[in-house]
Parts: sequence; C-alpha cells; structure tokens
Amino acid sequence: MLTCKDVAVLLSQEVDGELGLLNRAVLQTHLALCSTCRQIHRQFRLMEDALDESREFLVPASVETLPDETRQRLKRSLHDAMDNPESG
Amino acid sequence: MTTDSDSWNPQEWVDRHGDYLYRFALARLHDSHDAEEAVQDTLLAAWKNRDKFQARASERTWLTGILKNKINDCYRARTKAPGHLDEESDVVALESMFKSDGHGLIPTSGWSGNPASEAENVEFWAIFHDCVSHLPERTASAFVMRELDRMDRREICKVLDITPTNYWVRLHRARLKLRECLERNWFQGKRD
Repeated sequence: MLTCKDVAVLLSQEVDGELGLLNRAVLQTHLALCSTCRQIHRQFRLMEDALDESREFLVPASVETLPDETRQRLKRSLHDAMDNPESG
Repeated sequence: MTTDSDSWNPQEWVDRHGDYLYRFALARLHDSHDAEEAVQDTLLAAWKNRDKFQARASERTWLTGILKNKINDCYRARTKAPGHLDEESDVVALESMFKSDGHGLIPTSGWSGNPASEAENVEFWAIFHDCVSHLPERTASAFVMRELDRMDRREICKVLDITPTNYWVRLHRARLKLRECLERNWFQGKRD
C-alpha cells in the first residue's frame, strides 16, 4: 500500500502532464483512498490554472521602477566602462 | 533605428529599459542585489558587444536575451556556493514533510476561493510573489524557471546541473510550500 510520501512527487508530475500510464494508475489508486492528497492535488491544479492565466503577475507588483540609487549606480558603472573600453 | 553603434549611449538604455530589465531580473532572482548585478552585467556585456546587435531585432529583446543568460549564471553560482546541499538533502527535506508512517504532515483545508478567479487581483499576486520570494533558493529557482519562463525540464536540469529526480523533488517542495503560504496569507483571511 503506497503512502502519501511514496506518491508525493507523482502529484507534481501529474499536474505537469508528465506521468506515464503505470504511475498514473498508481496515483489514481492512492487518490481514491486519500482525501488529503486529493485536496492537495486539486489545489495544485488551481495554482497552475491561475498561473496559466496570469503568468506575468509573478513580477513583483510593488516594484514599478528602478530605485533611484540603483539607476545612478548603473549609469556610473556604464560611464566608467565607456571611459575605459580596454578594461573589464 | 540606427545601426551605427558608435552613436549609442548605453546610459539611455538605463532610462529606456532599466525598469523593465530590473523587474524581469527581480521576478526570477528575488534578491535586489543579485537583480541589480544581473542588469549591470547585461548592460556592460551589451555595450562591449554592441557590434553584434542585429538591427532587425528590438533593443529590448536583445538586452533581455543577454539578461536571461546572466540570470542563469546567477542560478548556477548559487547552486555551486559553499554550503550548497546535494540531491540527497533535497530528498530528505521533502521526506521531513511526512510522518514516519508516510502520511502527510501538512494540514490541509478547502479553499473558499479559486486562485484562477483571483488572477485579476493585484493583491493576490503581491502575496503570491511574496510567497515565492520566501521559498528556499534551491526550490525557488526550479519553480520560477518552470512557471515563469516555461522552460523545458531538460533545460532546467542542464542550467541547474541537477538530475530529473532532483528537479521533481524541488518542484514538488516548492508547490507544497506555496500552497501552505497561500492558505495562510490569502485563503484563511477570506474565510473569516
């Protein structure tokens, strides 16, 4: 009898569509008997659906622009590189 | 678009593309210092190789291509850092999320909402991003490469120098942690 630990990684493989027939049968058998894993499987699927729709939202919403200090540092390092083309 | 590379001023790249490149790097590296370094290395490399810029491509596409390589370099450097654990440690870390009899340790409960229907919600994604940034680095990079960049599993294994088994263990750990984080910071609040 396979435990939750035994089939754990199969859950992720199933969500990614990378499960072969045999392992699919193994996972389905476990899910039929285990409500915890069924719930996790369902929630993984929901997370994937959300990401499918809005992948670009993984970019941090709070960061709209370069911090000013960072911008100045970048410009300075580029300026130095342009002044010393042989270095670096 | 000029093809005379001598008339370029890369400092203008900072103004035109800096925000985009920085956000692109930050979404993948989850560290402001590493993101800044990746953008700096990108702009310097682009300046040194400005003669190779193909006029038919857009500047931003070209710079982003270089940035992706710098981000991969950063992933590799993190993987090779001292104290970097090996595959066996990843497996042990995953197994620690289960009881000795193999049953799950993670408490689960139903979600009152559906993340897909939250997909338009800026607050939801801010929390999601925060959850990703709290993932252990080893699981975060595999997850971000898979979910944000839709990289092929084989490509991810090559960049991170890990086996397929290790890749699945890391991805699964990432999903379990994210599930837990979303439950705690989003769905539990919605139930009250």
